Amino acid sequence: MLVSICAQVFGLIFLSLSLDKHFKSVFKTALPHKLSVWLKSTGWLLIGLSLFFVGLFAITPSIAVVYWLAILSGNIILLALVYCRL
Amino acid sequence: MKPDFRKSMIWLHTYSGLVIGWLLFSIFLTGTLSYFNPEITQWMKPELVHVSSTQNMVNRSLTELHKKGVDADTWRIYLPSERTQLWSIQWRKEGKRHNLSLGPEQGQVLSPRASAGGNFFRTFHYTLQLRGYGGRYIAGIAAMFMLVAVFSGIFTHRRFFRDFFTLRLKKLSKTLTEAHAIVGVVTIPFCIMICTSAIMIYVIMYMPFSAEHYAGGQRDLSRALSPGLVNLDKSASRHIPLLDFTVVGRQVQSQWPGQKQIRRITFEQPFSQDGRIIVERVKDLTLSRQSKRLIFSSHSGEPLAGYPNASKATQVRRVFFGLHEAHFADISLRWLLFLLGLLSSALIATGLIIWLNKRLEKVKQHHIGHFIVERLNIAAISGLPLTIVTFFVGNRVLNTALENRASIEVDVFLWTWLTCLFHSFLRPAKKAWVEQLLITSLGCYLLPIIDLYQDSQRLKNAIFDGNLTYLTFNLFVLFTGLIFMKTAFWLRAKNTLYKTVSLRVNKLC
Repeated sequence: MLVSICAQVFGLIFLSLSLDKHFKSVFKTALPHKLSVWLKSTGWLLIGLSLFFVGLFAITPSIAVVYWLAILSGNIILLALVYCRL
Repeated sequence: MKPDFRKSMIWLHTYSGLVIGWLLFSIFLTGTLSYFNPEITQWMKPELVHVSSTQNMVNRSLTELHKKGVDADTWRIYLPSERTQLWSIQWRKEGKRHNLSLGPEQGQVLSPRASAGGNFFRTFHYTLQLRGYGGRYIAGIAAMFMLVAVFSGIFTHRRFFRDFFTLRLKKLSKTLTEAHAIVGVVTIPFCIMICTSAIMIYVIMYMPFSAEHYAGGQRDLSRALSPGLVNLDKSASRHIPLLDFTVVGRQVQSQWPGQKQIRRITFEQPFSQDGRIIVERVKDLTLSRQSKRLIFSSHSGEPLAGYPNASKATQVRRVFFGLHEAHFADISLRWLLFLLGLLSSALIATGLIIWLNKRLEKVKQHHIGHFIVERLNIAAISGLPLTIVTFFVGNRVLNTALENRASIEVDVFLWTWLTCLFHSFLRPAKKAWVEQLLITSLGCYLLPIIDLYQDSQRLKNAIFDGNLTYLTFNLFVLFTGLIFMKTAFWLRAKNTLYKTVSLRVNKLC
């Protein structure tokens, strides 16, 4: 459970940093194209992996999907709140 | 002029949200509370004591039913779960239902106070206290409007992915718009799931003409899609039902291994030769609303033929129903869904406030429409939480010996809400906001104090028995009080950022 939440949080952080605006607000420099592609692909991979990890502990795959979506929504809000403080 | 797709979507989003926004807010907030329906009921009936499900419970229930429910048409045993802590038996005789709550000690019968409980929120959010007067149709229309608002909202977003994580806290109107956008994006799956499933639950009722066309009526269509068991012959010869459940219990155990697998046991025509027992499994193992069922003879305990297979349409509907009610959710998922429900309510509330603010910024001459929207915003957004807190205070303050106590609790809820509406119309807008928010926060602080004053043993027992439901409820109420107080003070301090409608009284008349 914790592993899947962490994978999702890092996935979302990578995905958000692959966007120019957020990268600039964190690192104060422009985002290189290669890094953007790398961040995007790793981000999606981690989010995909988090679904796999949720699947490992949930009773059925269908309940795992509900879990995954609910955690994803919570994490996005959390990340937005972190960004607005930066 | 060339029609602009995005502009029409913005228009649709604005007005589908506005027309029914207050109703949607109320439905979403009370619906969100129903995620904790049994827990709220537990808090509202403090006389219930901690009971945990054991094998012997069924036999004790049967002994009671043999004593009290002679010649009844139905017997029911509800076994307690961690969430309900309610062990009760029910028997129905000549169309009249009798209930009894049992305690853990031998022969102990509990008499909890009459209370509407958490179930009030559940019933209210889809019937609006108008069952039989079209309440469920109104709720269905509201769900449809919400779906329209969600889909049109997606198209109004100009930079859907670029602004995905953006929220700035500098200017109130900008913060509100961005919060509305981000919460909107995050709750898209939740809102679509909730609204679609809400419509699916009563799909047959909402499409009466097709039901009439295909099966000759709504009930017939239901029966055709999910056939039940054969009807029992009331005049069949008499037979004494089982007194010892062990025979059935062993068979159930072999089919459903593990502890605490049974949720409810129903005896249909227990005193008849054809009488049967329906054993229902707990609901937390499947998305579907209908958990597995096993059928046995009520006097020999032999297994009987089960329910005929339901049609695919019914199975799909049951999954939607299950998703809506989320009985499968364990405590962490339940809190997440609760949070999503609160966020969706916040989405609607911010939408309503943005509508007004945007217009007040642009228009010099304020209109009576602005005035009404502003007051309804206050009565719904700050009035409903105040009403909910009063409902809880009412549960503790009202005399437990009152007749029709449960319905008086509901009356307290409705009258308080009406008072909030009057208050919002009579006071200047900003004062009305601040006052209602402050009273809500005061109510939240008072609630645990009243509880402690009435019976300090409750808190002691909860701490020593580890009753997390009771403790979490009180802590959450205190936390809500803090949030409301902070919001009220923050709003009072903001002089320039929040615009209010200035409309002369003589213009209103």
